[in-house]
Amino acid sequence: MSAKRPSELATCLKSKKRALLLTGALCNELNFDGKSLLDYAAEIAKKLKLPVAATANTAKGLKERGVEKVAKKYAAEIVDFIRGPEWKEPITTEKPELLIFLGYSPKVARGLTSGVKGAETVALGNVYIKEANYSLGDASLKQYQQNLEQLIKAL
Amino acid sequence: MGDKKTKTVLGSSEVDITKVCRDIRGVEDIVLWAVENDWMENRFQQFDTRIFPFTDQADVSEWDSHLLDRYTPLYCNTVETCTDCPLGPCNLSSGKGVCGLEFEGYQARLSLRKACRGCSTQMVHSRELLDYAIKVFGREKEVSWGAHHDASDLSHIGLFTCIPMGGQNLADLDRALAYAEAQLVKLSSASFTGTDAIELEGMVFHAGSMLMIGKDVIELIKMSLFGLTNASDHEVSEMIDWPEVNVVGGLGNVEPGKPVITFMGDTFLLAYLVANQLKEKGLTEKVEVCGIGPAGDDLARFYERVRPLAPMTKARKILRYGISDVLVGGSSCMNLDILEDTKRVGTRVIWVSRDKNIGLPDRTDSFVDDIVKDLVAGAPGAWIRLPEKAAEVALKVLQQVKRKGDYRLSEEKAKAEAKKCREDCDLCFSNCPNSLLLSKAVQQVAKEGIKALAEVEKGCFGCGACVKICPENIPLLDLIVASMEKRAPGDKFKLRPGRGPLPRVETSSWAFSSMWGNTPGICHLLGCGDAKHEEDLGWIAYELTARNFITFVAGCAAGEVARHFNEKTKKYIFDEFGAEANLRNLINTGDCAACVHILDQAMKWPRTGAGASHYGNFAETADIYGNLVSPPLLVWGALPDRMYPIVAAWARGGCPVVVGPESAFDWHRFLPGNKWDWKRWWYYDSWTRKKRPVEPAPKHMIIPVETREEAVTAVTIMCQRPVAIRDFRLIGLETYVEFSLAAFGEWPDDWPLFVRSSWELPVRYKAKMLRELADKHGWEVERLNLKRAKHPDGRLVDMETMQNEFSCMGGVYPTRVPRMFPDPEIRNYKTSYEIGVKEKKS
Ligand code: SF4
Ligand code: SF4
Repeated sequence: MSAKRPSELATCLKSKKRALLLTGALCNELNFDGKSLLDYAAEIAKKLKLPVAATANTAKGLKERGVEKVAKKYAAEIVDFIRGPEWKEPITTEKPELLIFLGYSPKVARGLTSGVKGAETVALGNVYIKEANYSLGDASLKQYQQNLEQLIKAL
Repeated sequence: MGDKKTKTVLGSSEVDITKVCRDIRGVEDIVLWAVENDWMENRFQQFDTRIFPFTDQADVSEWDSHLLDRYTPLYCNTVETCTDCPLGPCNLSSGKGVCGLEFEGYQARLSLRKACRGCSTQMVHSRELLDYAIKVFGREKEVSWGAHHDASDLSHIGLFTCIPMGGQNLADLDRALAYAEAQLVKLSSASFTGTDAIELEGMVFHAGSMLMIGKDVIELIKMSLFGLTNASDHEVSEMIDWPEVNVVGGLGNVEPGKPVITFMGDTFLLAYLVANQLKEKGLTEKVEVCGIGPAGDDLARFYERVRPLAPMTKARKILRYGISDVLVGGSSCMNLDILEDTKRVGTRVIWVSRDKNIGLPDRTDSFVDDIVKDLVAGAPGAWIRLPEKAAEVALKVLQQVKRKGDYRLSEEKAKAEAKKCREDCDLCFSNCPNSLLLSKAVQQVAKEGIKALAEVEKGCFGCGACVKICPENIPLLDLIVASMEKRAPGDKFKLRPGRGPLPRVETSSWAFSSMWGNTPGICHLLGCGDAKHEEDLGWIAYELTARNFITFVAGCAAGEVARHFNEKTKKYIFDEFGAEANLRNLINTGDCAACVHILDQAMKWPRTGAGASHYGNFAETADIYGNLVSPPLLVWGALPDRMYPIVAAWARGGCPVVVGPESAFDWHRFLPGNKWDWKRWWYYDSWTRKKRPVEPAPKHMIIPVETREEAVTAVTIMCQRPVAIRDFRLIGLETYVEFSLAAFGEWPDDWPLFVRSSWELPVRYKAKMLRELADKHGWEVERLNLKRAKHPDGRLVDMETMQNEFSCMGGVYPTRVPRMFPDPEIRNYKTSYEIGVKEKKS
């Protein structure tokens, strides 16, 4: 898969009915001149009305930002559940067809997306993740912020 | 077989070892010894007992396969194309390879290769020290686990070979290590030829077990022949504060102006020889002896003036900081380009490993004075394969060498370099394995100076990836190292040296107190120092120990934990907690090899609690241990390959493992359990021989997590076992909820899965839990009691049925291995849940 432009990814995200957003540890660590990655995560979740599997320590912050369908989860557990024949994880009633990873360092994102079997994956980081089905391209932090802004605008 | 004795009498039974051993030839003596000294009569009467001296992986597959069935391998960082043989390459994503290999099988091969790589780094070291010991002391030289160890104390040597505990000599260790080495060769071969993923993953476990034998061997030699601390030679009553917290470490404790010699990696022997010479020559006050990685932990066990500096993963940063005049280096768990660092700062390297060189001239056969002359004159280092000669050279060079100062970047130079940074680049951030915000910090350096790198420096382990990628060739690692200068004076910690093994007389005293409650659990802590937040391990150790955990630590993690300083009590963590194997104590066993004591003592449970001997009896030991106790291992910083088989050894014993943070996600294989799929969670009730559903405990066997808060929360719930009794379950569940609420602001989603009765609910949360069970999960509640429970199969059942059908309440004796069923004709008692009360069988 080649890297996608934010607008292309927005189309992809909108086309999937059963998507699950996973928010990782970097959401609490990355700041773009006053706006945190967690703010962007909350905006994406709200715009697409996505359920959020808040991994690492992101659950509290997302709730504070008004995200409704959010629950504390462990990233590797979600990757494990998705490969099972039956989906019983209560965060969504139906098995997600798309997992969206936001806030994972490239190493963690590669590890997680490469383990997913039974759903498509999107990596919304500043590094292209070839193991994901769809990924934003390599970008500086400034370009990354622009990518996120464009993506949210196009949702 | 000839006329060798093969029968013995235990109590009223005659035991014929040819019937319990598949092939007794050549091992009659050790098997008979084990049967006569440790096995109990009832195990031969009641169970289908078998003994596997010098166990092959296939001999243990009855246990391995059960683990791998419940915890299905999850492969990450997968590779699609196999190039292992001349028939290839074969792309396995679209089907089998020419040889029949499937995608999963190939991933398992890669997993096994990683395990073998990690295992061999230990084996090389164990073999070097054993060969040296045999040369110096002779094969008949006795070694001992200590005065308080007896036949029933477990070692991985006994567990897999049947070689007796007690009365061992170096020839016995040679036999044990040769077995482990031969197994490793088989496993390495299978990692290129095996095809069955489950079988290969069983071999990964086996590599872990063999690694533990290597660790047993080296620990026995160090304690018996080189005088390293051994708690088993001391009274249990001393253990609360033994060994004393008398070692200070960190750059801030290295006295300026004195010559500094640093030992790095697995260089125990050289450290021992040099330290003894320093003592003999009265030089201990005149030079500073430092340690990086295992060498520092080993030195702490016999030379209290050592200054442990850092874990192996941070070696490059420390070396580049330039504190050492002489570095004695050898193979270790990490491959590092140390010459690049030492040359910059003028540190002279004496490389001592016999297995590999690092590009230095081989001076093994040169005269000592010639080598010293060259090194003092400026040669960067020498490879010397004779330990005594290397020690002599090291000491002489240390006394003569003069290095130039000024090898760190000045403030001005650092600013000038930082000014080259491109505004819109961030490649260093993108390529940093810890995702450190280096780019922003570097841009700040241009304005504020080096202090702007302080935070990044703490999370950096010096891999150099940022340096390679920077398009402006900014010497980023030099900038980071320069920023250490500000922190160095305050970089101090206090360490309780490792104690070595834990005899059964000590562990028995708390074995039952832990099972009966008063603690949320036991936790084993390891870690290689590459975690992004240096203070994490200390925080984790404090959080757990302060909550009454029994916390064990070893290896590089001990030094990281030792940094924890409690601002309220003004105490370092090892001063704050006692050191006996008991609740609310923090026990350091020693260096990376000494982590084996933690697992060895933990796996004694089946002997202590169920009378099952461990000799040649891994599957039964693991089955009983895994079902009953098997405390979790938390690995924080998992970069070196050696950690992979270490984790496999723990998991094979049924100890769930939590690994993190960043580096853990680089691993190929995890063993998660699906807690929502209740059909996966069962045991055999060994009396009825029927499967019983149980709660998902432990939830996972190997699972990666991202943050320290996730780590302590996961560890806490993974202490739970279906056989655990009320107080233990209650405190564990309470602590699990507390950690969750504090870190994530919500209740864990799976707590109801661990509820079996109202009296096992923590009092603090009982009312809320009952309400939730009634409102959201369909249980029936009457006042403060559960009236009817939701069985995992969906039925609403009365509490008596729940007790009779679910989990392991009321004396159920669980097993996962059918061979462990006791013979129903011989057992004397029915269990309480069958007939309500215990009664003698008529
Ligand atoms: S040297 Fe340090 S900052 Fe640079 S990439 Fe490695 S860990 Fe990150
Ligand atoms: S890689 Fe070099 S130029 Fe790019 S941001 Fe980092 S330090 Fe600056």
